[in-house]
Amino acid sequence: MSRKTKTIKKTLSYFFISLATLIFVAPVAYLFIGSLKPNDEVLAGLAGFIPEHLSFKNYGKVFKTFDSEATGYFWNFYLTSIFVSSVVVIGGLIVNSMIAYALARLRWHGRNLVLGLVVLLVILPFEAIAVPLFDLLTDYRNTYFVQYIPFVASAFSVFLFYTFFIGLPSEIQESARLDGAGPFRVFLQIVIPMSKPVFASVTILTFLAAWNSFLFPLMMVDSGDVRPLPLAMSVFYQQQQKEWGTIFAFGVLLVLPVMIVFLAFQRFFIQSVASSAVKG
Amino acid sequence: MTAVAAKAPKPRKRRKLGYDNIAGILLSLPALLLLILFVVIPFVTAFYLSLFNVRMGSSHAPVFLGFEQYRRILFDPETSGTFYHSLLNNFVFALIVVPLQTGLAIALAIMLNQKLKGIAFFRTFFFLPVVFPMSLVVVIWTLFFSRDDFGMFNSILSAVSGGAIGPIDWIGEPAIALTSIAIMSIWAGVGFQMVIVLAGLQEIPTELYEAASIDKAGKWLQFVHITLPSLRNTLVFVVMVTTIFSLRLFDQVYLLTSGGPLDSTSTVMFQAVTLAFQEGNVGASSAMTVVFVLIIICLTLVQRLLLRQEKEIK
Amino acid sequence: MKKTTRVGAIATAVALAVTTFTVPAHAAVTELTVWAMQGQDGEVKAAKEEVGAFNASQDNIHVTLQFKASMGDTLKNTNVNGLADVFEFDGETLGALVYDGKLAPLKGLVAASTISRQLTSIKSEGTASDGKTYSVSQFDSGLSLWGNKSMLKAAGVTNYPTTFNKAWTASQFTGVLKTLAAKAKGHKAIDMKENYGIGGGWAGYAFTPIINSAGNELVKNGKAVGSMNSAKAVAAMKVFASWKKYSDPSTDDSAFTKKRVALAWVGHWATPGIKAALGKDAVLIPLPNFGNGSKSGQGSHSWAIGANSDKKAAAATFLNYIMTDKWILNLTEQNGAVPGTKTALAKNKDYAKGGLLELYGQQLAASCGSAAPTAKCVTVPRTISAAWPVINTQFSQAAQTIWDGGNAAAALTKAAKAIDQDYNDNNGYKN
Repeated sequence: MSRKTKTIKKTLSYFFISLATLIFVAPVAYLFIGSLKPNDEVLAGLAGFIPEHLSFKNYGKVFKTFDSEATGYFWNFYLTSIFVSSVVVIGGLIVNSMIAYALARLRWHGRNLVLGLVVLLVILPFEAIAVPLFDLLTDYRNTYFVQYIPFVASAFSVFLFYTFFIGLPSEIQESARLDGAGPFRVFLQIVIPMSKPVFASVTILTFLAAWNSFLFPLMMVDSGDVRPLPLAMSVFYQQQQKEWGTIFAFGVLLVLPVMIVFLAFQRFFIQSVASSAVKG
Repeated sequence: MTAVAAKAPKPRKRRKLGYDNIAGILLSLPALLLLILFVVIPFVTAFYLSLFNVRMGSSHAPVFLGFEQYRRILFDPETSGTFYHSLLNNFVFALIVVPLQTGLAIALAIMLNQKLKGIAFFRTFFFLPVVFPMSLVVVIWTLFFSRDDFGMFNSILSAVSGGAIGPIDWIGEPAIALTSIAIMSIWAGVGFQMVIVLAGLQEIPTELYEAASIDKAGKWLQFVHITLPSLRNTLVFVVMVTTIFSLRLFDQVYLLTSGGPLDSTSTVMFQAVTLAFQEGNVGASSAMTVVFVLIIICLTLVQRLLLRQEKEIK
Repeated sequence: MKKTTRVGAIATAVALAVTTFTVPAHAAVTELTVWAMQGQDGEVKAAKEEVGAFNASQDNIHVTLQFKASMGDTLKNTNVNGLADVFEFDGETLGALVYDGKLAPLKGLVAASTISRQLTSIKSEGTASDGKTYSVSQFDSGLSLWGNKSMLKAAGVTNYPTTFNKAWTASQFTGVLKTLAAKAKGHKAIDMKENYGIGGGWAGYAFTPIINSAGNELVKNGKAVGSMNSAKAVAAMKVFASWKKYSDPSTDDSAFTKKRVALAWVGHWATPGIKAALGKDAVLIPLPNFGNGSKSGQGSHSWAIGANSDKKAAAATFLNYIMTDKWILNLTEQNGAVPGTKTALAKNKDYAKGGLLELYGQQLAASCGSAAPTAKCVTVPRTISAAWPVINTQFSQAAQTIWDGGNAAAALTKAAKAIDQDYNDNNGYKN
């Protein structure tokens, strides 16, 4: 291939990639620009992309709306989301990897039964049990507890761990066992260090699911002090008299920190999601 | 899922069987207890509640109805229409989203797998929507779908056609509303699938392609004969996850269309939640839930059976 | 549906222990929990102001105010022991709340004068089928058309009614919409507040008057079939659907205030924004008459005391306080609603003869009460029954279907049957 055609090909590639990116990013750009525009200039078709009359007024309005105990504070929504997501992620890593290891590497009574149960539960959508779960947990409305406890154990995470553990070479584990190491030690000292990718990707998957959780908080939380971000967004959206600038400002505040974290760790994110989830 | 069947651990004879037994149970116990408490018991409760007329938050004692709720959902011509329509919408949605989203994910992954400077920079943008909660996605897209001239899509249409194409009611026309929701969902979710496919692509040994180039196989043939087969496991995973997500469709419908127009975007989960939380009819909602779960379980069994068969043929 | 789990018992025990330890023993202050609806900005502000003033005025009672984002769901989903001492709620849910035993009768708790001073319409909304009063309100709602005088004039519509007995007939109104749309830039004539979501409950308040004006009720004597889906009701809803082509979707909630359309079909809460945007150009016009006279809605936020509250006396003190004209006016000046007492109403010049909101006052004064609507009365309270959530959901969804081009008779019949089935399942919601 001549150098010239190579350059042309490259330029074409960049052109198409840029075009696709532009289309893909448009809604995000719209959000950010709109958040800085006066309320009545956001819903304006393509003109919504024109950055003019910009100011931070909308952001001021958002903070003013949540300025007391009675309404809940904006930072409280963050705190709730961070706390709940953290418990779901950390708790989930512990209990789900434990059971997955037991299923993958140990022989015990009832193993097959439990394995069957897990496989069955993988496909059960949470929404399908949301209503009865609401009914059972109704005494715990408006708590952090109710927001994380149903999500700590996850058949899907167990399944991901299980497939990864099963794929690990068993020789080292076998010889450690023959040397007298118990199953707990093998798990802690051999299996876990070998399984960083699956831990990383379960972390990300669980975090995203927990962070974006909507239906259950919608049912369980109506008080501003334990309201997570996605719910706060929809509550704010439904209350405002469609002041789009202000609503967009709320949206930016909601998503910006996660975006920054993601941008900072993107390479790591992409690699780890990649390296484990698909080994099935 | 095939791995479960294929790679079950070989039975090992070991003197520490008793110890393993205790360890296995201990390690499983926390997750098992949580799963039973928060998944199995609620499901059993749902079945129990479905046999009664139970009102949300009511102080009145539930009245036993037997299988009446099921009869209404499945067989009563007066009341079953909405359920079947919603179920159909679930499947139509899956039929639109699964191939489109998977196809787009593959296309994007191949595009972003080129060895170009700064490609990582571009990749980032496609993953971005994944961190957007659906409630925010819907807010932005409400303005894209607005049926007046100020809606983004209508504005673009009008600009492109020079005003020849009038405003379209993207989420108010029964014929296109579900497709609109599907497009929005694909935007929000494709980045995730793209990353997984990208990872799959990077695992394919380059020698395969090199060999193919020497054989003068075109790009398309390489794609069909090398890329796709190598991605098989990845794609099975992606299709499985996307299917589950499609069947669960709720947030978008609740936030964007409330099931309308003319039930064209209503889904089973949306119906179940509306029944329980707007009408306070917990019994009917539970019955719908039970039916839905049974349908999903059947579907999954069929899916697994098909995949296993395919493997055997190979 | 009461569930006492072991975990629940432990949690309660812990909670008890914690409160016992944190509340100083000598404190004689009654801690009152109050839930308020998180409505528009002015309402939130007014609620904070009245609670602040109340706390400052009392030595023995302290109110903790909490805003709830969707009070209807909160009250429905919380069992009676978990309720606040005092709460604000949308009056339409009164029947269900009483049926579920969540409200305390106010007689003997709240001062007799607090109840007697309320507008007649409010008294009927606060009274359940057992004849007892369960709620009081700081304001009632107003529903009608808003017109933009200049735009109406520009389109040649000069003869618009401003009192309910001269309301346009439905066909006259359709003609007006057609005229207006022909003149308007975007070919739209009215903001029906589609952005509120017709199927999400907006219809239950805003478009029930269409059924009433056609001479029907949503539910008559506990039965919807034959009433909601009567031939007259179906015909009226078909006319309603024919207006869609003139309706601005109002995604920005401001088709009327931005002067894209000359008419709006909306409640009192839009008043502050409309006053600011249109000034003297704004005029109230009664809703169209489908044969049985112009009809309108009534009922808005109400206040009640939790049935199992152990601080009912303090709760009543709080209600007496916020139901005074001072706080009623403080709130209604910010949210544009109809003040809840005659004396407060008289103090607001908007409701005086020739005032901007005179029509709202007149309509409510001609309330139909809980009796079947006649040609002479105007405002109809929403059905006070535990079935209301179902009635509202079903009718609203039917209205949405009809609006979207669905078959009116089929949609209304389906809704009516669902409502009757619900009544049947629950033994007519008799206590």
